This record gives sequence, C-alpha cells and structure tokens, in this order.
Amino acid sequence: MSAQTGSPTVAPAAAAVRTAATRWQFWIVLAVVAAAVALVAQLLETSETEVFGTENTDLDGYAAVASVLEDHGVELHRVYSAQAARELMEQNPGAGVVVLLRDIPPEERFTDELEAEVEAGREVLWISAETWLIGEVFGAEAQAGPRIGEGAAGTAQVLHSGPRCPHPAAETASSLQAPGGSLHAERGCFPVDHDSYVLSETTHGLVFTAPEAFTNQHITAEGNAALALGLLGAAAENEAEQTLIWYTPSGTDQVGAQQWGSPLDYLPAWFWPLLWWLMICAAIGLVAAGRRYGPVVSEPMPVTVPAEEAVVGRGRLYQRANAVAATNQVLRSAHLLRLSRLLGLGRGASPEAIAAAASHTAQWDLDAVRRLLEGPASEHALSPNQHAARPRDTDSPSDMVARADALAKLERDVRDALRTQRRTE
Amino acid sequence: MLTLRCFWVALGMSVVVMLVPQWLWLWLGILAAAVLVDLMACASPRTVRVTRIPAQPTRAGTPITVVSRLQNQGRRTLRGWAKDGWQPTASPRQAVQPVQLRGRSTVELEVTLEPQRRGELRSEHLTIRSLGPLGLAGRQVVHRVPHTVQVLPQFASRRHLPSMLRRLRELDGASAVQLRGAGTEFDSLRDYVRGDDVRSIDWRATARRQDAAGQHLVVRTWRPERDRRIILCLDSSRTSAARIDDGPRLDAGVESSLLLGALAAHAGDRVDFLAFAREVTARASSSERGTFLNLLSLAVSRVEPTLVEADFSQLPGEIAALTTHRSLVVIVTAADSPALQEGLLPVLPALTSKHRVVVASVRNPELLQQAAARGSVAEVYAAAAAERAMIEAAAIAAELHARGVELVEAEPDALPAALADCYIRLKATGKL
Repeated sequence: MSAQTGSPTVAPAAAAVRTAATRWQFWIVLAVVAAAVALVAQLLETSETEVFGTENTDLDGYAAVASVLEDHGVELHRVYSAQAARELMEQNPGAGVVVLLRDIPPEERFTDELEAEVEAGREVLWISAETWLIGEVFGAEAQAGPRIGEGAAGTAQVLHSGPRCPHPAAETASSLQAPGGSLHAERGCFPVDHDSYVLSETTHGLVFTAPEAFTNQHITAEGNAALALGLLGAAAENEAEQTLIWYTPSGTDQVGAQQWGSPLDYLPAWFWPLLWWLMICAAIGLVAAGRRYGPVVSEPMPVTVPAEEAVVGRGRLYQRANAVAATNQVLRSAHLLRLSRLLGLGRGASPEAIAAAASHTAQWDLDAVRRLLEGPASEHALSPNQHAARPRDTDSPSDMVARADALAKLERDVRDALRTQRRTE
Repeated sequence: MLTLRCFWVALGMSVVVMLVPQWLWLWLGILAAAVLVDLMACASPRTVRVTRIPAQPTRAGTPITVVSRLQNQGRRTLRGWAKDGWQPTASPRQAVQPVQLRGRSTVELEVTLEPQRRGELRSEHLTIRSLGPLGLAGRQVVHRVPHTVQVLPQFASRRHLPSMLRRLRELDGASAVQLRGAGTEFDSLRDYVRGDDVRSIDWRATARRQDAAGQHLVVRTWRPERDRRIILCLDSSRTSAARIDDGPRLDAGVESSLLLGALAAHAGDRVDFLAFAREVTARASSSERGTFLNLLSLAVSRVEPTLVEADFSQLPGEIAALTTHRSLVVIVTAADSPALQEGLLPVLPALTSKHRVVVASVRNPELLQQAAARGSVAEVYAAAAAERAMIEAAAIAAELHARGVELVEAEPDALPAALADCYIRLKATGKL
C-alpha cells in the first residue's frame, strides 16, 4: 500500500523553518534594520533631561560647565542620596561639595554635618533658586530676599560684584546676568538690594541663588562663565586630585527622614512575588487559550438577493415623489384586470362594463363603483379632444388610502358573492 | 504551544509561591523545566502522514462519515488532538478529536458531517497537536491535505415521484386506455376485456386467433411515445440569486429539474440537462452511463447563482447541438423579470419553430401579501409597486402565451410538482 511507504504530509521542521524564513524575509529584514537603528539611536543618545543635570545638553542643562571642568581634570561624582554623599566625603576628605537644591530639602542630619565640615575647612557650595527652601533648611540665618529684577526686554538685570564682595571668583567675574533670587546676608556678592545678595556666605557654606546663570543657555552671558568656573573650580581645588561631589537631594532621603511610609511598605513579603507569578499565569493562560487548531476556516457563501428589493424600492420612490395619481392608476388597473378575470368578462372589457358587472355582483351602488374604478382619467377620456389630459393629483394621501381600501373591499365582496353564487348553483 | 492544564498547574503553584515567596525563581525554573521536558518528549507531529479516503457523494441533510488515515512514521507514541478543518456548513460533529498513535502505526480518524447545503464541501487541512507526557506543552503542525465531499441537492420533491410514476403507468397501454390520443405508438396485442374501447379491436388478429377454445377478441394496445427528447435548461444568472421565502430561486429550479428529469428518464424519454448563465456551466445526459438521477444530481449540485445577465442567445445553438429532432425544451428561469423581454423573447421564435417550449418560473408569494396590505400611506405605495410588478409579469406571461409557449408559474414549494404535471399532461395529449 502506497500510504505505508509514503513520506509524511508536511515538510520536516528544518525545511518548514526555511520556508517560513523565505516567506517572511522582508519583514524579518525590516525588523532587524529597525532594531539596529533603535540600538544606534539609543547609544548615540547620551544627554539626560534632568534640569541642571551635568550631562543635560539642552538649554536648562549644565553640560557645558561640566565638560569644561572635566577638561581641567575635575572629577564629578553625582549622588542623589545623603548616604552616598556621606560615603564619598569620607573617601575624599578634601573634595568640595556642591548641593543642588531643586524642590526637595536635603536630609536634616546631613545639613548639620555639612555645617561641621565647613567649619573644618571643606568647600561647600549650595546652588538653588528656591530661596524659601534655603530659608527652611538654614533656619533663621538665611532669609529670602527680593528676586533679581528684569530689564526692558524681559531679560534679567545685570548685577555687579559690589564693593563688599569677599570672594575672589566673584571679583574676577565682576558681573552676572541670569534670573534668580537672593538672600539677606551680612556679606556677599552681586547685591540685589542693599542687604541681599545672589552669592552670600553663610555658616553652611557659600549659597548661590541664581542657578540659571550656569545653564547652557546663560553661561556665555556677562561674567557667568568666569563665576561658574571660579566657584566650582575653587571648590574642587583643594588637593592633588580635584574632586567635586555633586549632591542633588531626591526622594531617596525622604522616606527615612520623615516619619511616614508608603502603604506598599506594609504589604506582606509574598505580595510582590505572588503578583509576578499571577502575571506569569495570565500570560500562560493567554497563550494557551489563544492557540487555534490550525488556520481559520472560511465559508464560501453563495450570492442571494432579496427578491422584493426592486418592488420595495419602487414603492419608496412613489412615496418620495408623492405620486398619488400614478399610485391610484396602478391600483385601479390592477383591480380592473382582476375583476374582469373574476367576472369572466375577457381581456378587452371596458372599465364601464366591469364596473357595471361588479356593482351588480357585489350589490354595491353603481356610481360608487364607477367612481372607484374609472377615476378622474375617465372623465377626460369621455370628453372628446382631451386624450392628452393627464390625471391630476387631486387626492390627498389619506384619500388615496381610503380609495385603495375600498378597491380591496370591492374585490373581496365580488369574490365572496361569486363563491356563494357558485355554492347555491 | 502551552495547554490550559499548564495554566491550571501554574495557578495551583501560586500557593507555593505564597508560602515560600523568596524561592520565586526556583518555582519559575521548575515550571519552565516541566514545559521544556514536555516539549522535548512529545512525539513530533511532523512524522505523521495524512491520507484522505475518498468519500461518496451525499445528499444535503443526510449525515456522512468521512475518514482520514493518520500514519505515524516516528518511533514515539503520539498523544494529543487532531482537528479536521471542515467548513462550517459541513457541520462536523466531532471536528476536534483525541488521538493516540503508537509508533509506526495507523489510525483512522472518522468525522461525521451533516451537510447543510449542496455543493462541494472542503476541508483544506488537518491539524495535529501532539502533547508531552505531562500534558503541559506540546507541538502543533498543520497538514495541508485537502478533502472534498460532493453534496447533492436535497431533492425534497422526491415524495411526488411515486404518484407521478403511477400516473405515467396509467397512461401506458398496459392498462385499458379509453382516452383517444393517449398514445399513438403500437405496443402489443392482448385479449379483449370488458370496458376496452371497441374501436381498438384488431379484427385480423382476432381471425388468426380462432381455435378450439372458442371466440377470442383481440385488441391492440397503445402506449405513449417513448424516446422523446426533453431538454432542461436551468438559468443560473442573477435573477436566480433572488431569495424567495427561505432559499434562492435557483433551489426551486434545481428541485424542479431533478423531479422532471427523474420522471422523464423513468418514462423512457431521453433527457439532457444544461445550466447556463453567460455560458453553459453544467451538463448531464441520460445517454451517459449510470443512473440518470445521480448524474443529474451531481451536475446540479455544482450550479451556483452568479451575478451576471443570462445569455439566452446561445440556447438555440446549444439545443441544436444536442438534437435535431423535435423535443420538449423546458427553460427554468424568472418569468417575472423585465429583463426577459430583451433576453428570452427574441430567441423564442427560433425555439418554438422546431420545439415545444415550456417556461417554468417561481412566483413570489410576498408580492401578493404586499399588494394586499393597504393600512397606511407607505403600505399603499408599496402595494401599488407590487401591483405594478404583477401587471408587468402578467404582460410577459401573455406575451409568452401568444408565442405558443406554455408557462408554468408556482410558488417555490409547488413548482416541481406543477412542472411535472405539465409534462404528464403534454405526454397524455401526445403533444411531445
């Protein structure tokens, strides 16, 4: 038997893979190319998007300043938690510390530690435009001053280092232009008011309240660049190896510092593993339930068209055109034809003859039957020289319904009469 | 391929995950290993050879069992499921079946179909799903080996056939025939029985039959003509696609063709069948070998309505190619279609000059209902439209009568019997 010796009815797995690869060649190539492009784009994409980030090359980033510092051999260590900053400070006892405050305050204990470090001689620079936050962190020592005024075109006012400026970098820069705030202090540079400065000296270290000045956008304005390199370079330049610890307080310190925790922390230990496991279960369920037994089977359907389509369409056309006269005429001729067949009058019988026979059979009034069966057209037909006259639309639709009903009733009566007549015979 | 059992097992394992959550990766590894073991251990569904056993034609509504042979050429036992991909109107009863195929063995997969409509039913593929020993995972492969079953029309009008045949036999000279013109062909001589027409006594034969037993009158018997030609033309153009009641007009035409064809073939006439739209799409002839009803059913089962205009102009040529003798031409079409005026009427003279022509057509019962409904303004407009359609149909019928064409019009269920009656009437009056 040939079936016993024949080969399987599908290709072996290797051949099937080859066939599939050939069939999907285009899409496979497309997917590979897309993946390669995405990978390259990902690798080329180095800039970050954090505001005042040292690798952010956008207008609000510090990439320009950071790269110049790195060219000068300054090593930047970015940290986001007080604990990490503390560890780095232990490793590099001489390294300068930059605290970049955005809207999250640093750990309280760390602020106190920094104060001690400043006393011990470490360079600490606070950078923040949020002067209220600095006021909160430093307590009574630092009070927020007025904001830097704006010039005519909306750009910030140019500030000068001022006569009571103790910092050499500020004196070198001599001028500053950037939006920002100020602090009330006894001594400082770049006065906004008579006792409030943009760069002020506190017991916690230097505080600079116009961080916009060092962004890629504003770094080239006035003496901004000289001030940035002077301040940051001086902070780093304590030892042979120039190191700068760049600390940005973030949510990581928050939980420990404040005495509330997220409800997620109080969940039992098995919660997250179980959640992952259930997600795996759901994936298995989807794959198992979604697997079909082979391709979808289609049904070649035969064509069918509703037979009354044309008739229904014509009825709607009559209605849209309000074709009362035409409708009356069609109904009349249909009933005339049927009545003449019922009454045995033959094909050529005139409407008058049919009307007479019908009224006689059904015992209806002859005039009424004539009005029904002959209609307005017959009046014209009776008068000579009027063969071109067309039926007028004198009836309203409600009259037409009554007329159609009466025609049907007449036919029914004739039928009944004929039936009883036949039965009695 | 994963199974639902794999899902339930994984769901069950969530208890273990809850109890020892720190070993999540271990549990995941165990599950993955079990799945992998199943995948590696299951028999390959690729080593199976599928053979389709040819199936006999069946009638619509009659269940049929179709068989596919699965031969496992691998060494491992294949456990799992097989699905035969029959189309939905085949209504397979157990399309998905469990299979167990020992290594190097053969199994026959039986699927019972209940075909719902005539035509060619197809199964394009057979899918084999092989599961591993744990039943958690497996492999699935689609074998594209087509299988077909020819489904013949239901022939519901078959119930009319016995009574029609009895009437035909009554026409036959075997029984005493009083009707003049019941037949013109001499059949045989037999003894006179009371009630026979005295005009049919054959005096010469009576004289020859005188013997000792006494007087015997001998009569001649007649029978209706045999070996007449009937040509059935089934219109499968756009008008046949119209749905009347439940089925397309073509279905009533198919039933009528089957009844008339079976009847005429029994009566000893030669029947030719052709279905046409733009060209002839199916043919059958009683001169071919085999039972004519089967041949006709097979030919008719493949006819489907197409959305094209019928080309009647080819009919005279096709009929001339079939026979040069005078025959009965039955055209099954839609006589109430205004398109008939341009299609059939011009070619009628060419047909009526040589043949007797009968036009069979399905009447739409909905038109009568629509014409009788006079309740609202919209209904009256629709009634007028229906009346107008009926007047037009009546005009076409009158025109057909005027050209000497017999018109058989009936509702879908009644058309086969009406057409057969017409045939018997023509035969009884010797008009074939």
